[in-house]
Amino acid sequence: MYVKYFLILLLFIFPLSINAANSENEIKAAVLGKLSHFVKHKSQINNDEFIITVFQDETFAKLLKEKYNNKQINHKNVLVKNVQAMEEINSSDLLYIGKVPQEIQYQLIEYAQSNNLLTISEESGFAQRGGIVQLYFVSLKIRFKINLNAAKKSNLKISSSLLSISTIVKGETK
Amino acid sequence: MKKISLSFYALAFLFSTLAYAEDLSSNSLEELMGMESEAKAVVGSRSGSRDFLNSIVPIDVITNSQIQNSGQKKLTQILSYFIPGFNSPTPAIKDGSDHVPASSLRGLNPDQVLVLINGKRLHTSALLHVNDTVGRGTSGANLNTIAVASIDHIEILRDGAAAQYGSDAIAGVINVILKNGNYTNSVSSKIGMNLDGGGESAQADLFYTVPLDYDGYLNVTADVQTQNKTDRAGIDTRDQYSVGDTGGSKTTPLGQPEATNYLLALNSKAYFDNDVALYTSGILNYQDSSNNAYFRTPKDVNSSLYPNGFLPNIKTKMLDYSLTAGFTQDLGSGSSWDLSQTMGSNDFHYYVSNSMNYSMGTASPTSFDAGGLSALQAVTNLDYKTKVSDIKVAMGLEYKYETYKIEAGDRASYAQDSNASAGSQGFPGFRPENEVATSRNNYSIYLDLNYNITPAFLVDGAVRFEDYSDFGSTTNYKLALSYKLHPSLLVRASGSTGFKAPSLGQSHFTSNSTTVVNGVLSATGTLSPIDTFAQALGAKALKAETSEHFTTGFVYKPVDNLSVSTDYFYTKIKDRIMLSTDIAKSAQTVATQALYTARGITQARYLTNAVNTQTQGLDLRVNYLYLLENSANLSFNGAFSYAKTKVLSFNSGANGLAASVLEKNRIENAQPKDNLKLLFNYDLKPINIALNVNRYGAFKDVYNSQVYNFDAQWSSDLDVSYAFTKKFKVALGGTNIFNSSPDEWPNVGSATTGSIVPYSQYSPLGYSGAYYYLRAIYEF
Repeated sequence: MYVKYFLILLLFIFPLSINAANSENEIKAAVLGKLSHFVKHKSQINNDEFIITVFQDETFAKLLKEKYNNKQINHKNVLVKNVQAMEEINSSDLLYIGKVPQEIQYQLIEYAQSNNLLTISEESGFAQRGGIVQLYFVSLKIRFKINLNAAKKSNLKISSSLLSISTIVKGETK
Repeated sequence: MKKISLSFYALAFLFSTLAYAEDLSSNSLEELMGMESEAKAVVGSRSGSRDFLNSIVPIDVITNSQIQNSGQKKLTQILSYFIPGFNSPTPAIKDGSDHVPASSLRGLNPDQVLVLINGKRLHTSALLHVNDTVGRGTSGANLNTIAVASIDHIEILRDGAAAQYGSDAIAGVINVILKNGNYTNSVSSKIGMNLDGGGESAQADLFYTVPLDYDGYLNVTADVQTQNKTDRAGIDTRDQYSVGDTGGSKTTPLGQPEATNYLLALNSKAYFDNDVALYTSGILNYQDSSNNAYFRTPKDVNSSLYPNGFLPNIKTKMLDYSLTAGFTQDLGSGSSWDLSQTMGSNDFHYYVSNSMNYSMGTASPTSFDAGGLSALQAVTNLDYKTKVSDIKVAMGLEYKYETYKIEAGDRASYAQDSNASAGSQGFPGFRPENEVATSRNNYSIYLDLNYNITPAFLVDGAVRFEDYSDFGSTTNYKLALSYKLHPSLLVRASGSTGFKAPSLGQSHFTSNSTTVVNGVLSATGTLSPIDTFAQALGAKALKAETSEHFTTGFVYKPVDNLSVSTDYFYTKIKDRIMLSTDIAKSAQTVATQALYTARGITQARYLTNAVNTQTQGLDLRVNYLYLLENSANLSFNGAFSYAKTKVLSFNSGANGLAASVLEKNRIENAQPKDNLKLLFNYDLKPINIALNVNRYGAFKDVYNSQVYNFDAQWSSDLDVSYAFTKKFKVALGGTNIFNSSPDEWPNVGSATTGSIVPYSQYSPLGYSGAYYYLRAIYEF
């Protein structure tokens, strides 16, 4: 009897449009594309495609390939690469760094700064160590920490509208 | 016909949702920032956190925003609000049990649920519930010692997990995860009262976070709570001054105690070079709480000290803390180690006032220190995780040291200076012969393997060996499988063995208490099962409860905004520990009667491995979320739980229990078998409306060996908040807003049951009725 009332109740409340209860990775994947709109390279990158390089996180790279198949970012087709070593990064628009030891993270940040790459990661302390955008979740909602100095070192300009909804982090002084 | 119409509704429901999948890339950044990701949980597998669709075992997660929107400020209230099958009744006139909730899952006992804070074992309360309440004969963890403002989210594993976590994880595991450094500072306050009078309460908390380098943090939460008594008693029909003088007025309050709580919580993490982190977490709770025993009529008192009778007041003071500190290091490539030390303690002390010791006559003091109990638990953990080929491997060692202590009260609280009843009325103090200081230790070693045989087929196996210094060793196993038949459909099954070690309290607690049996006061002694007196009555040293579990079910997520899960479960428990029935002095030999006389009691009882039971049932979850055109969110969570416990057999040493209608009923029918929760949250910033429609199923209680039915009860909770700014929010709300009451006892011819106490003490919603509140929160 109660099951019947329960189902009727569900029918009444169901709407004509939805929002998604997506996984963290799905939201992160969508956010990567959006963040790129708020970041401008001061120096020209001549890739024909918008290249997202994912360092080591195979699961996330696979998801990105799926989500950005036949999609464009900044009017360019998206190419998602998954690399396991720094030498494979080459020319990219965005470097997403998965879970790696601190020592490797520092090396990747240094490499990205010298190659004007936008670096994004979810690892604790990433922005303070010189990463540009750090993703994190509070109460299941995605938020950003941005290291402006690191962006400058990579010749990137971040729009004020993104800065206004982000936490600004000072980098290491050492 | 009924089946057809049900099928129609079900199909219509599914089709109404199937058409609405969407691509997140069409959302703006702000919209993405407004979305809640699917909650993940770490409990249940040591191979990392998993979300709803990928969970190999059934898990519920209560998120921080759900906690906030519910308006609840005690952890037991939050779990009752969200988790069907979580039961935390609020008995009264039950001595210490008035002050420490006996909370349970799936109709099992409070000590058959393991509670973790940040994945580390929380100690249990020193209090052993010995009165006529749910959880009689057990000591559970006191969930209300954790400040709610310190909590990030709560994970509830609905599966046996002793092979992973050790003792107690039979009905499930509650893992409370404290906030990390990503939260902003906040202060909040709440005031409220019950519609039918009393229950005035005030609460205030502060959450403050200090950021440390590299996203480290030091969080401190302080929480102060006060509440007044409620009184829902009936009239006292006992003779007051003389035979036939029934008085006909209320003499004994019945309801929630008057209580003040001070809570502190700490959570911190500091990162160092080489991926090393130091973490600490802790809770501290001081509770000062008082409630009454039954009114002593002038006729019974017969003393010039109280010519008009007296109402004993039992005050308890509880100090509880738990502190964990540890180091962890991420070694890369999926490897890490973690070394931690947890120390937890509960000290529970009784004071009795407005009372007397009959045996001391007019020389009796009116206030007493009735002694106390304390329990300490120290746990050292070393865990190591790595990947061997594609197998995730977790292994670890645990060493646990526990102590238990009973401290006698002052002499007047237990003295027997004449042939009249001994000790302070209401709660006789612990005697010097009750005093005990005992300890034990145990070590354990575990191995947990997690392997994706194919991308869709996951296997998790665990084995854990434990050795206790008092009752011996046990090895437990778990095997869990999940298979993704389709990206939106996961089927899962698990089987495991488990155990619950007898607590030191169960093995060593002794006391004398004054209870009312059929309207007559009688002195009852609770004996240790290793006491020679108890063993003369048939007691044996306690051994562990052992269990077997099986669960199977599926998770279906046809579209991003809808998920459904159903899980069947079966739990068989052997040698469940119970208090024996009260064994009357009059039924014993002359030699044994002398033992009763020496202890000043007329009835005796002890803890015993008494009964074998099976519990089986079904859990159903439906989660739905949508975005209205005006950017409002409406979420719906439907949750249903059914759990039926059946006594399979009583053991031969279960003195009198097999014939006890009362005790069999307490196992099988004292807790609702079914529980439905319909949770709606409508978020149209700046307004948020949270509505919880709740149905607790019927239960049964017993008086004088006669079983009485108490019907199911509906209640509704509502919280309406308005955010004046992004940082300041005010809310009005209430629990049980339509003031529903549980069924009352029929006239059973008792002076207490159905008279002074109109309601069953098993009532899952209590009997204080509607409670309305105003709350505010400010973030800074």
